Amino acid sequence: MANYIKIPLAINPARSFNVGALNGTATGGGTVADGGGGASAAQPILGGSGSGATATVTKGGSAAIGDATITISNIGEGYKAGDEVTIAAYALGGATTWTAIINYTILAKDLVTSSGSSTNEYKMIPIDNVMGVQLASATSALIETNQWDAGAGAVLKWTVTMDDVPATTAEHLAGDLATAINKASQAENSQPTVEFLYDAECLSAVLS
Amino acid sequence: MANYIRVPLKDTSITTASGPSYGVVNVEDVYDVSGEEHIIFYTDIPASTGKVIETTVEYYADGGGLPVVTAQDLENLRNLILSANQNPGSNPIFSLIGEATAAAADLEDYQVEQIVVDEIAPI
Repeated sequence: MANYIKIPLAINPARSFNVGALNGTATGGGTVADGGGGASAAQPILGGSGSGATATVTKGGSAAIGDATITISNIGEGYKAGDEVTIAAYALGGATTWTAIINYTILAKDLVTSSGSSTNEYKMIPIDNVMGVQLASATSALIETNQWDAGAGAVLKWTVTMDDVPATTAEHLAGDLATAINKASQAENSQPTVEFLYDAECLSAVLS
Repeated sequence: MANYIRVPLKDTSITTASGPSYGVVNVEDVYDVSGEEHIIFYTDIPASTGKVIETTVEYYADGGGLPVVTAQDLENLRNLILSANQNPGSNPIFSLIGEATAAAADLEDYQVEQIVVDEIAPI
């Protein structure tokens, strides 16, 4: 009989963009022109629940914003999938320009990966083969097993990835995971849920 | 079911969300321990050819190089491992002897800053 801990997965947590092109289709923007070619200067992404993100715009095959590429320059913080954001009109020459506000609805894959959802609230971690928790960083810890992966030349381990806001520390992250493992091993079938200090949010837990 | 001991984690002077901050080390199948600055837990669990799974508990040890683990610590630890395996779920706390007499500023030397699982040749 296996003994488990449960790691709560944050559901659409406020988080940063991924660097790179947005995956959805923007609207508005008026007429997009190449203005001499190339990407615009990075412009603030406005609205939504976050702040600090910027993006460049590069004209595509037509004058419609839907054909343009919007590329994240600064990842910002605090955005959620479904947020409706805008980029103001931009008319400086020498690069792509557009004549009206660009509208965009953020997709989950535009943001840092988060595997939690209303139908996937926990990651179940069997602990019977867990040897210990390795500290990695304030946003990552490794739950290491005693199962040797000959191909990788290392033990199998769960990589627990946390959002950077709200922040915890490497030591407390490892301690919180270890505390749950301790509880589970002391009370078989209790299947405790990991409680993260500072309400830190878990984005994913992946075995590799 | 795995049997653990607990070790104090460095830089966790405030409590965690759910209790004191300790790391856990699975001591099931551990057959020996060694070390001076860190402690290596040897298991009889196979890894690659000729090697076994080991867990290294790294003490802060003044940033490295300080031999904080004594022969008596290792003997105490062997006894604690046997006890932990006799009493599943007891999950006792292992503390180095030096921690009891360390000045407050030196306590961190006897606390754990890393736990790493790898393979090693058996001893």
